[in-house]
Amino acid sequence: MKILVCVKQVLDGETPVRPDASGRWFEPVATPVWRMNDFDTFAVEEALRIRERVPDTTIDAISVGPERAAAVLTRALEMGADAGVHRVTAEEGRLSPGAVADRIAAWAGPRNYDLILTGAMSEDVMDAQVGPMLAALLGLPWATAAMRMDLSGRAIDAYPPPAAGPDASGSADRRSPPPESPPAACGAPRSVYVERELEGGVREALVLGLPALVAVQSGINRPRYPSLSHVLRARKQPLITAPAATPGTADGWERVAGVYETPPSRTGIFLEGSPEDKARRLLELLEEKALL
Amino acid sequence: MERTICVIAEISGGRIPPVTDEAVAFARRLQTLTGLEIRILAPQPPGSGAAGTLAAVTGLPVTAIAGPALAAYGAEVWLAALVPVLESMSAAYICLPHTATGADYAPALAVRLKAACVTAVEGCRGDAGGLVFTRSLCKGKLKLDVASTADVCVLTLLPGAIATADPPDACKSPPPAVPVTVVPCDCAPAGTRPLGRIPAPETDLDLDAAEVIVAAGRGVGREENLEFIRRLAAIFPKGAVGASRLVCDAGWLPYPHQVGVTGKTVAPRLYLACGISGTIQHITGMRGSRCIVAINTDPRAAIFQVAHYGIVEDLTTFIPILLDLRETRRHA
Repeated sequence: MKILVCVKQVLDGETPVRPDASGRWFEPVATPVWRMNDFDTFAVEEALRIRERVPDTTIDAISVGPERAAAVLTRALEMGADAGVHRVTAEEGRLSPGAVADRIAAWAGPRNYDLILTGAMSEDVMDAQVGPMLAALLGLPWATAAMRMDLSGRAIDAYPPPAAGPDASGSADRRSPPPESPPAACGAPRSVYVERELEGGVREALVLGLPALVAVQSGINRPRYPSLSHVLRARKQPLITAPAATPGTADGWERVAGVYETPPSRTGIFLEGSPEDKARRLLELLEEKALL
Repeated sequence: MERTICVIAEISGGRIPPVTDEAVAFARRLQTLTGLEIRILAPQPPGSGAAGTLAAVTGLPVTAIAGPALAAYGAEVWLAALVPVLESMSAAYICLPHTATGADYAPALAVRLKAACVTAVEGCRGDAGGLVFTRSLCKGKLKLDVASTADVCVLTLLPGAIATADPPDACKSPPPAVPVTVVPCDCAPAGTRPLGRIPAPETDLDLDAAEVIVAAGRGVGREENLEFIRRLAAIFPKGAVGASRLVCDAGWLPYPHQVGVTGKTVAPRLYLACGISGTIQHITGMRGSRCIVAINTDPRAAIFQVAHYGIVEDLTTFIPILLDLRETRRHA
């Protein structure tokens, strides 16, 4: 099967940021540390696990971003992806989720991927939009916040249509997922069983007919570290680069009015002095409040 | 046709959750700024009373979209049910909660309606160029103001960020009931099948009962350092260990310890945040705590914005000092 994994390059969360000169986006204050969006590492890992179980699986990783974003595709190759596709954008600054989805859709549209994986969101902007937008642009069924996925050889039509009942939406009525036969035994995968994470640890189970898009939640697996052989291969393997074409239909529907430091919402007190002074003051405060 | 502000109600087990009240409150704020009328849409199975309840509580016109396939949420049927109704109402602003459900379909709805899409919105205001919506960036360190340049704008509202009106006064008469309009919907999913919900696993951990929660974030650095957090929680009579999502994702603590939008919402007497940066998702789950103390090496961390007391220190050196001093004072 053909899998496309969408990855984004983000600033490491520890890198301090500030509004940029235009006041319309942000920039790193110190020497930036760029890396793969954490959520996307889970998507890459999920693709690799599928390839280990389903014969003849290929994994393409794609990223939309400026020149520097090539590093994140190399990282995907180092983890084990087969090819890296870089849709190069001109400059720094905001790229709307619609514009990103549009550019990935332009690549994916004619290539008939069986499964498209994305992270649930990016760590820096947290829009959580590209996945569902991409699915809508390509006309695919989708699920977000996936905490479990199992491929199945069973076609979507073999599942009964949803049963009607008053407000079944709220019923927490299932304890275990349906037994899914391993795909290797039943030919090519035709559907994917997904458990989505809802609020408070509740999950929602569903089946998507392939081709489909799944946005995976962090924690679905343990992303691997690159193996030496993949690192050596990735060093030599060129990326497929394509300038991101002219802005599409989903571009430019939002205008950034400003980016600024979050004003303090409450005047808290920073405890001052040596670590011992701070510890003493904290203990006094906790005793005053009868917490100790 | 007159443009409208549409709220898509989230209904859970036939009940109206607070996130829906917040979406209505946000729509009322938009109404003040734009003068447009509000309509509430309630996708539901036929015969459900949820739409009627919404109309009675809000005094706003409610349209129930009723179909057998709408008994359980599914992105595909939600879009099929909502798009024609939203178009017929000439929706200018579409407000819905930024929950696991809302975030699942809102971006696709925006694509379908050729609309702007702003997610995890925390507030709005009017300025010279029109309406501006505010959300967080970079784990809450920065704020982003966005305006829509499209004809239609889909907005998902961060749970807990929008203030709702006080609970209705018992002496006050309820708003005049507005009749519910029912639009039948016979759509059925083609590419998806809902299989129901799986309850959260049973757990002995009860964060609700804890008076003090000592919570660990990515800043603990490594799994072994959780020992500092456990020892600190143990000095309180009713202390428990909480965690940020990242700590649970790393497998250092199981998910029942997680505080935040996708975990538990807590309000203990004391919340001691250790090495937690303070994403808006985490803060939403603990901002109701009576006293918040944050320990973090980064003085710019967003957690300090909600903390009553901030301590800029490395928790691996500070907590041992704190525990030693506590022992000394106890025996003094």
